[in-house]
This record gives sequence, C-alpha cells and structure tokens, in this order.
Amino acid sequence: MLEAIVGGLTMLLTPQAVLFMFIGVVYGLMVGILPGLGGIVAMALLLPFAYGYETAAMLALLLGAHIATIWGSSVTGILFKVPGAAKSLALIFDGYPLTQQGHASRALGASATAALLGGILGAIFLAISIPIVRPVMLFLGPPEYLMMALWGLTIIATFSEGSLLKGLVAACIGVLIAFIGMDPVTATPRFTFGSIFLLDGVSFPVAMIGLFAVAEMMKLYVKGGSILDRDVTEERSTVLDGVRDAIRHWWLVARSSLLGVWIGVLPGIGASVGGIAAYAQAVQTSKTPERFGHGAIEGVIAPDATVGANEGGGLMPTLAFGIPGGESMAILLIAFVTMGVTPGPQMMTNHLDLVFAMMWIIVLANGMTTLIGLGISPYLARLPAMNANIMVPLVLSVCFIGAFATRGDIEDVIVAAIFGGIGYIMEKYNYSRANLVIGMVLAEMIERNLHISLTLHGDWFLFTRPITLTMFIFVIFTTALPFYRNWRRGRMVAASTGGRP
Amino acid sequence: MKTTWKTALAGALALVLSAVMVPFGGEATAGMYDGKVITLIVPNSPSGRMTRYARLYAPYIAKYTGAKEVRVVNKKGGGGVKGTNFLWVQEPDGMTIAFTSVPTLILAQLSGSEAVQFDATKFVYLGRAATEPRVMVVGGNNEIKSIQDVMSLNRPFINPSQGTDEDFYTLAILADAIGFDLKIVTGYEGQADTGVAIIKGDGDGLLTSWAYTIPMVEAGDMRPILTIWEERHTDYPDVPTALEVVKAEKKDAVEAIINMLAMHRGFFGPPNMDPTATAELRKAISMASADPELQAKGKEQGLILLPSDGETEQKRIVQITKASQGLKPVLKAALDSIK
Amino acid sequence: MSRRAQENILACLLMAFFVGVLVLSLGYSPRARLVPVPISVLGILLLSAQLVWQNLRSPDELHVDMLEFLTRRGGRPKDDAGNADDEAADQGAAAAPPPSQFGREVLAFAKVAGFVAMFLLLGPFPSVFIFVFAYFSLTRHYHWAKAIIVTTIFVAITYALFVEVLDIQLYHGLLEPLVNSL
Repeated sequence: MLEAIVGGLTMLLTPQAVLFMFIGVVYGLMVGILPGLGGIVAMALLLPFAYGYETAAMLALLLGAHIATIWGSSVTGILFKVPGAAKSLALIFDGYPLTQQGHASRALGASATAALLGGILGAIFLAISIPIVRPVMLFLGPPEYLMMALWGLTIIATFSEGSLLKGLVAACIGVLIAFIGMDPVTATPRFTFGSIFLLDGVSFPVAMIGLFAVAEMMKLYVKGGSILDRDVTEERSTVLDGVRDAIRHWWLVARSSLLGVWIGVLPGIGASVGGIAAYAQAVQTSKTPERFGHGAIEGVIAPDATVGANEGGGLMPTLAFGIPGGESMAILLIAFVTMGVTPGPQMMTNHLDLVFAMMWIIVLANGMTTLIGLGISPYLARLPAMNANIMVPLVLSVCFIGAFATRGDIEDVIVAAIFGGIGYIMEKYNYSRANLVIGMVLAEMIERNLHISLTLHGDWFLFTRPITLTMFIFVIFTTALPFYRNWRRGRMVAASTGGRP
Repeated sequence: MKTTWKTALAGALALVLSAVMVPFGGEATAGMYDGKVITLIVPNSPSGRMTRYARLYAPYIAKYTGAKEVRVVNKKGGGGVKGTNFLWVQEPDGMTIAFTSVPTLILAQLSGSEAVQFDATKFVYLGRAATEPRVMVVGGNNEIKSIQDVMSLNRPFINPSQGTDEDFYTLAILADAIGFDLKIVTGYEGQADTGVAIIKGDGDGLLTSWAYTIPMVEAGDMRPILTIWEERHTDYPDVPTALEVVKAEKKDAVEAIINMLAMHRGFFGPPNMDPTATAELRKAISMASADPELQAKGKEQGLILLPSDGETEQKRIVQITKASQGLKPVLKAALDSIK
Repeated sequence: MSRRAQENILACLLMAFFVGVLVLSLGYSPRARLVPVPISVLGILLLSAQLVWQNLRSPDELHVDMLEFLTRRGGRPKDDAGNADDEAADQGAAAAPPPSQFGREVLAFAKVAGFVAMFLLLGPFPSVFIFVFAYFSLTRHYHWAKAIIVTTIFVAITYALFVEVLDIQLYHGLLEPLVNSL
C-alpha cells in the first residue's frame, strides 16, 4: 500500500506531468470563473490535446482542470452572486453578503482554503473508506436517496427569515419549474406547450444566472453606486483572515468533507445537491444559525469543503464496480482505455499506484489552485468596488454570453432574461430566491426516487424499510430542532426578563 | 399527414434544386465539393462521444471530397430530435449532412414522439462510423442465470431504466418477441445508478454495450445472458443471440431491431439528396473509414470503429421500414406501461 | 400604489401560476402528476394564507408572516428583536420607494429586454459591443473615445475566451441572412 502511495506520487513528479497540471489548473480556473460552464466542459475541451502524452500527464491535465473549475465557480459566486456552476450555488448565500460587507478577500481566502482542505481530507477519507464503499453503496437505495433529498429541503426554513410562507411558496415554484420538460420517469412532456426547446427543461445554470446575476445587475442599476454596502469604503479583512477562518473551523471542514465524499460515492445524487447539503449541515449544527444568509463565513467554508471532497468520491463507483460514476469520470476513463487499463475493481489489485496517482492529483491540483487563488484573490476582491456604470454592462454581457454558451441555444438567453425579471421581483417582495433554486435542484431527485421507491417497494416503503424510517425520523427531528431551539431560547429570555424586578 | 406535407415540400425543393443544378451538372462530377464547406450537424452535446466521432471524421471527409472544410455544428436538444428536425428541412444539395445515433431517431419516430417532424426512413444514409453490439446482463447474484431462466420466470423481469432510450424500446421488443413478462422501472439517473441497482438486486437486468460490462462481468458482478447481434460474441461463445431464442413469428421484429442498432453512429443527409453528392459522400466516408491515419487516431482516443458503407446502411432501412408497423403496438404498450 | 396593493397583485399572479400548473397537471397521467398536483395545491393553500394574512395585518407588519408569528410568538419578546428591527427598517425603505425608483425599474427591465432583443437579432458579439458602448456613452461614464477603447478590449477578451479558448459555436443572429443578401 505504502509502495503504491509513493509510486503514485512519483508518477506525477515528471516535468511533463507538473507542467500539464499547471496548464490544466489555469484553464480550469478560467472556465470556472465564466458563468454557465463547468468542469465537464473544461475536460471535454482539453481532451483532444491530451492524447499521446504520458498517462500521468494526461490525467493531471484533465483532472487538474476539473478540480480548478470548482474554486473558479466559487469566485464569481462570492464576488458577483454569479455561481459559475450548479454545484457552487451554496456559495452565494453567504459569500456574496460577505463581499457586500467588504470581506471579499476573506471570503475568497476561506473558500480556497476550505476547498484545499476538503480535497485533502476527501482523499484521505476515501483511502480509508475503500473497504466499506461497496457494502454501503449496496445498502443504500432510492428510498434512502429520497430521504436525503427531503433532508436537503429542510434548509428552506433558513432562507425564509421574515416570511416562512413566502419562502415555502418560492420553493414550490422552484419545484414546478424543475418539472418543465420531458419527464424522464413517464416520458410525458410537461408544461412545454409544444416547444422542442422546453422539452429539455429549464437549464439550471441559466436559471441561476438570471435569478441572481441578472437580477442583481438590475438592482444595481436601480440603486446606483457599487454592490458594496454604502458605508464600505475599503476592504475590511485580508485573504489571510479567510485562511485562518477555514483552519479555525477545522471540525466543520472535516464533517463537510466526509459528506462530500459520500455524496460523490453514491450514484444518483448530483454534486449540486452536495453544496446545499453541506450548507444545511452547517446551519443545523451551528450554535448561531440566524447568522447564516447574512455573511457567515461558515456558509462559505462548508460548501467549498464538500465540493472539494466530492471529486474523489466520484472515483469510487468506478473502483468498486467498474461503473463510471458521472460524466466527468466517463471522460477520465478514456485516459485509462488508451493505456490499456480496464477501469474497475481489478485496478485495486493491479494498478493501485494509478489509483493513488489520481488521489495525489486531487490533492496537488487543489493545492495549486489554492496557491494561485490566494495569490490573485486580493486583486479579484477589488472588482466588486467597480462603479455600477461599468459593472452593469460588463457583467450583463458575460452573463448572457455565458447563458448562451451553456447549451449553445439562443433561447437560453431569453430564459436568463426572464429569470432576471423574476429574480428582481422576488427579491423586492421578499420571496426567497435561494428557496426557489433549492426547490429546483431537489425536485427531480425527489420525484425520481419517489417513483422508484413506490414501484419497487410498494406504497408503504417508508414503514417497511427500517433504514428509511430511521432517516425519515431524523429529517423530522432536524427540521423541528431550530424551532425548538428558538422556542427554548425565547423561554429562557422570557424567564430572565420575567425574573427581573 | 404532417409528414406527407413535409415530404411533398422536400420533394418540391429537390425538384427546384435539381433544375437549378442542371447547368452545373457537368462540373459536379469533377469534384463538386472543391473548395466548398460541408456542414455536419451533430444533434448531441458538444462534449459528448458523438461529437468526438464527428470531429474525428470531419477532416478526412474533407480530404476525400476535396471540400475546403467539414464544419461540425452541434444542435443539441430533445434527445437528438431537434437537430434532426433541422436537417429534415435543409436543402438536399449535399452541403448539409448529419451524424448521430440512428436507432434513437427511428425509435423516437416509431414511438410516436410529438417532437418528431421527420421520417427517419426517408433520409439518405451515407455510412456508419461505429456501432457497439448490445448485450443483456443480469446481476451476478441473481437467481436468473440464462435467458431460459428469464423465459420460465413466474414473475416479471425487472429492468431499472434511465427512461425512454434505445435500450428501453429494444428490451420491450425483445420481451414481446422472446416471450417474457417485463417490468421497466424508470427514474434512474445514469449508468452507475442502474448498474448498482441490478448488482444489489433491486432490478434483474439491463441492456448495455459489451465494452461497458467487461470489468463487471470479470468481477462476477454481472452475467451476460443474451447478445443482441447477428452472431455470438467471440469472447462469450456460450451466450446465445436474440435470433436464436426468438419465437419464429416474431423474427422480423428482432431482425429490425438488430438492424436498427447496427446503424448506430451513422452519417445521413436530407431526403432526396442530390445523387452525385450522395455518391461522393458515401465514397468519401468509406475512404475516411479505411484511412490508417484516422484508424490510429480513433484508437488513440478510445473511439472504437466499426465502419460500414452507405449502400449497406440504406438496405437496412428497407428491412426496418418493412417491420416497423409491427413494432409500433409493442412500443406503444411499453410507453403506456410507465405512464 | 401602496405596498399592500403591490403585494396583493404579485400574490394573485402567483396564484394564477399555481392554478394554471394544477389545471395542466390534471391532464397528465397519474404517475406524471403524482408530484406536481400536490405541490401546486400546496402553493395555492400557502398563497391563500399569505393573502389573508397580508390583508389583515397593519401595513407596518407586512413583513411579519403568519407561520413566523405562530412559531415565535411566545418566544420572541420585543426587546430580543434586534434583527427584526433592522429588517423592518429595510422593509420600510422598500415599502415607500421614492417615486423616481419606479421609473428606473422600468428602465432596468427595458434595458435587459432591449439587450436580449439585440442579441437575437445581431448575435452575441455585435450586440455586446453596441450595448456596452451605448451604456458607457449614455451614462457619460467615459468619454466616447475612451468608451470605444474599453469596449473593444472587453469584446476582444470575451471573444477570445468564449470562441477561441472555449470553442463556443456562435449564434449569428436573425438579421445575418439579410446582411448577407446585401
């Protein structure tokens, strides 16, 4: 084992591999920062250039680019409320308020460090959990995935401050928007009005670009000035503060990384759910959940650590069963095929060094991304201070081109604009946009797994499967917990004031 | 009704076009593509495998037609239907052709999808780049060990499915033709999801490509029980083909589906495409497939090639059209079963 | 228009959305409507509650919500509500927008709509060039000469990124055939 760990590292220590990883990371950062495009696009674009080089270099280029897009997407989420990809959605909930308060550098620093720690811890957790991955994957199934999705819904309460009713309405709208298009379960075109474009549904990144970025630019235009709060004249913290934040919350980072690994391992749970689940977990375990949504640094650290750790988890279905875990893994598998290695369980015995080489790439690429990230963060952090007259046209332009680029459909630009209008109105009248997006992300996962559970296990699957029932009770418990805490604190305050003479 | 109208329109277009082309007829034979740009529509994702095949072929089609460039244009949407609808109404002058999964199109049409505006049997088929034979596998620990076990099963055979893709329809046709009870459970997302479902026993089996199953079969997690191909697979000579176990009266249906699957990654042009252009393109695609440089690149990129010429592919369409009316009720019943 | 009237209009629009979804969903097969129907019914119920609530409360309490009210009633004495006061202040500001803001809001919607229309007609990069340059010039943020330079650099960078590096296939705009025929 130790031999394989060292062997994996030495594979990567050739000049070609290091250079390729650097190129991959820089390219990935760029793709990540542009809205609408994610890691799969980066890998697919680099693939043609990767042929004919050392295997390690090829993997370093592809996987390195993929890793770097993660932090790249976080950057624009934090600075401009433009999540670069679906999985970094949760970053805008607290990252953007931090920017508005003049803590952009700190948020970027914390985000980059959390992604690095997540990547490293994820790789370690993965190495440790290799023996139990298979049984766990076989143990959990659609009913349990359904419960996980329901658990994700519980954070709706967090974003409904001031108006739980409106928050729930927003979530319902999000769920229904997600159902636009061909229903994969029953092959029924729903809410498409005969349009072939709508048959593919509303693209999630495009809806996010509209709801958050376009709406924010409209708001900025109406308000004038810059996106920073009026009393913020200069940066109030440094990148190093963020690094310290991430290290100080090591326990949160560890928990989030573990969550990220397992979300990556389980097929049928998308990475976009990961960020939201991490955020939910951070809120629910926090002693001061009311700070979330208003610029809590934990709200940046948790999702980034989870997403950072997620990638390693995605390798697992391949290593445990030989099944490509996701689209990104499918591209990586090409690299194996060209070198004559059949991806699958036998890699654990025959090519363990290669497995560890990939773990090392995750760690090193994360390290490289973080180093570059921490270096450029102070410069990036100045961008939000730009005047509205410059910011609005430039960001709107990039958003619309990005919306177009996600699928190459001009209709998506119209969708982004429509969602911009919806986002503006929702913000103004206090209907939570975050809830709409959460509803959108979780809707399909809930619907799919509900149908499978009902078909396979009958109408009463909830009560016939002990593990599902346990998870359901857990969901109810965690939903009730904040209300209970509120109530108890209220009583304590009431008791203390009541006790005063 | 709609189709006939479209066909009439396309026919009229072709007529007008051929009339216009007559004066240039003489030159057409001597490299009608010289210096021209051919548009190759790929109705799939730009980052997908289909596009990688198209990009592999594009420069070689240009080389052998003499065209200045073969430009790959992605028109993704509706499971390949959007881009194919687009091709259906293009001028049949040979300057616009498409490349995608042909069975997907034929099945979308046969199943009565509302989005389909084309008639896949009327396209002009130009050649195939590749096809991957399908295989039916069951979970390694499943009580089912062979296709005979499936046929004598006293409960439905459960198939975890990602939705109404080629495998969905193929399996429905096979169940009807071989004679077993099938229950398709839709809602799974991705190959990993369905794969794990049969390994853990939530489902019985699924259809997939040979390449994909190798590691799982070797590890004992999956067991191949049926080959959906004209002959047995050389590595698994004990696994029968669908044609061996089919009921005699349903042989046509299975042949049709095998022919459909065989057309997998194929090039095709609009209906009534200019004959000179058709001949040139068919020749160029065959020559591209035979080019050792292209073959080497394909191998390097992990793109398995199994080419076939345009005439062969066009003949398959004849057989498919013949049997397709018989397939329609089966496909409809499969769709109704998941509604 | 009062804040309450605006809130009511929006709630009615959303209600129409949910009713529409419900009507459409009822036309689908039982499995296809399994989730959409309950969700749209839930939406209708929630909005009904919201409508009743926002019309029964005094205007300054509009931001407080019934569920919130029920769950916190016993537990949140007035002197603990530091946060809520801030929010109330924010809401107050939003509730009585200065008259000029409505005009700017209409303009904001119009600009986005105009930009998208141009995008459809001219394709991405020409419209980005025109939009950015016009924006700079009309707001008089830059002198026109400088505006042209900044715009050109910006368009060049985005073009290089999206088209050259990321290999995005361009959309050419509805007007291109027209331009070509000239």
